[in-house]
Amino acid sequence: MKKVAIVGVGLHPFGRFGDKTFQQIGQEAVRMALKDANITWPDIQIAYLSSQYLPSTAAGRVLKPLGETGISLVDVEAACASGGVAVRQAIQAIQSEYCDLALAVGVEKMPRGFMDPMANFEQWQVYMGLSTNPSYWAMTARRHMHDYGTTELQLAKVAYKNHKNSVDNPYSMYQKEFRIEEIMASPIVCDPIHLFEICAPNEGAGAIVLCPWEKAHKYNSKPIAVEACVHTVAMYSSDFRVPIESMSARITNPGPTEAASEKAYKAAGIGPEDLDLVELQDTDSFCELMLYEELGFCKVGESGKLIDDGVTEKNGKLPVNVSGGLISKGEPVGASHLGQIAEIVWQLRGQAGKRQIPDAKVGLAHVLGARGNCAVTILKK
Amino acid sequence: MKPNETTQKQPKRIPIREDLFTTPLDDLGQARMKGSRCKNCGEVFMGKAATCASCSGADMEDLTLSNRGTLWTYTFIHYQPPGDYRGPTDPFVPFAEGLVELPEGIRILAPVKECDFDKVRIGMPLVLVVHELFQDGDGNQVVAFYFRPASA
Repeated sequence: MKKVAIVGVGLHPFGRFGDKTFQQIGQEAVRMALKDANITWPDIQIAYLSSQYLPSTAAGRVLKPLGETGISLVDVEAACASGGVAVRQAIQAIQSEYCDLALAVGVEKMPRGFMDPMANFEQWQVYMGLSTNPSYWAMTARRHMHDYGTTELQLAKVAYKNHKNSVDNPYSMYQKEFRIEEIMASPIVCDPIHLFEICAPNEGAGAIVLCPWEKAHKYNSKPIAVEACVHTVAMYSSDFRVPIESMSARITNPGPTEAASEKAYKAAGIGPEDLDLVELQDTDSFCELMLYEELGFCKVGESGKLIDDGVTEKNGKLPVNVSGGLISKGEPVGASHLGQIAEIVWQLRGQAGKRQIPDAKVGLAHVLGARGNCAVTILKK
Repeated sequence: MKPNETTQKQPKRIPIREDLFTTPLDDLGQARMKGSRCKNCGEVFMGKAATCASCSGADMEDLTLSNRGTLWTYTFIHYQPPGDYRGPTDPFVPFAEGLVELPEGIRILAPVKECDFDKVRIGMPLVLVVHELFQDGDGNQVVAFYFRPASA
């Protein structure tokens, strides 16, 4: 399979930007990515735009004002993994030799507060009050605590780490360090998850320019290789952290993250031990712990120990969410994976400023959301 | 919730989701949840399922689900859920939400009510309650479900 490179990245900060339109937010990220690749908009031959909350033909609304060149502008949506699908499609467009220069851009401008439950739940579930989104994450956490003795302190340590990391990230929403005590004393959103341990829906955009590896140096002196980009949807009875009405008590299949990362590791020819940094879906603090296990960083049930041992801290053996993660950046759903990729590209190029992980060579980005939509991208210097 | 036993014309009771409960719904105390079982692999689904989501088999049989189960996991809903929630809102009454494991090999997402939050624990025995949740725009009583502690 043809090797594909990222030759340009652009990011619009994640946060709340008042009357600024999603078109403006998206265009800023795209312009930055084009500039980074030393090209202009007419050079792009196909573009995929990921979002979950933007109106129909969002790709056209964001990109046509840059120049109506007549290329295919495609909208994609796969809940929190939307960005992964945009990237995967752009890669396939290059691998199929449809084009040489493809753009993947994620843009989001979400309503404030809880997400509209009708986006993810059935009407009868909303009537019965079964549509509080964080409740699924909370119930997974509760069961893990019961089975493996994971503690509320260990959950709080994840939020502490990510908020602390975000202080050095100008693209993050909060950029504020909180004490463990403050995190544990913040209001309970859904027992046992606290307010400072959960990500906020917000606004933002990320964009990347891709091309065949053999042509990459023409556009950027530090191209980054996409070693794998996998999208999967949860198998039967593998994950109840998605809106469900019931699950099997007889069968447990591998979770979507386990399934997607296994494929991604295989495609990249590496294992979790080869990673230098990871950006993953910390929708809430427990989610990050669960993902340590599903991505193969530790055995099932041992994620609490991993955070206790500081392995995933910025100066640990495997730094996770050095950008601050979604807990501190917020989650503009369609843009979040592009944001993760931008962070990893900067890290691998040695351009991450105060957040820089010394000599980072391989990074993994992971997103997971409704219906068990999951994407894993592995990047290499 | 007690059935109204007067001779007046009663509002029609309709299930919150089609094929969710045994019929008739005259005596809600006798109502049970319905399920479907795959004749190929044995997986059980809530309500009417035409196809098995596990093995893709299309040979399904109806069954009545047990009204007793145990709590597999839970959380507490302290704030009014977003959207068109039809439980009590003035004031909102916090409730537990959980996955309830039934002997048929299925875990059902359900509200858990009539319980002391301090005493909720994984593994606790629960019993099904089928009740009138709200009256719809056509005057029908919409019938829903929750679980409560079996010992209460």
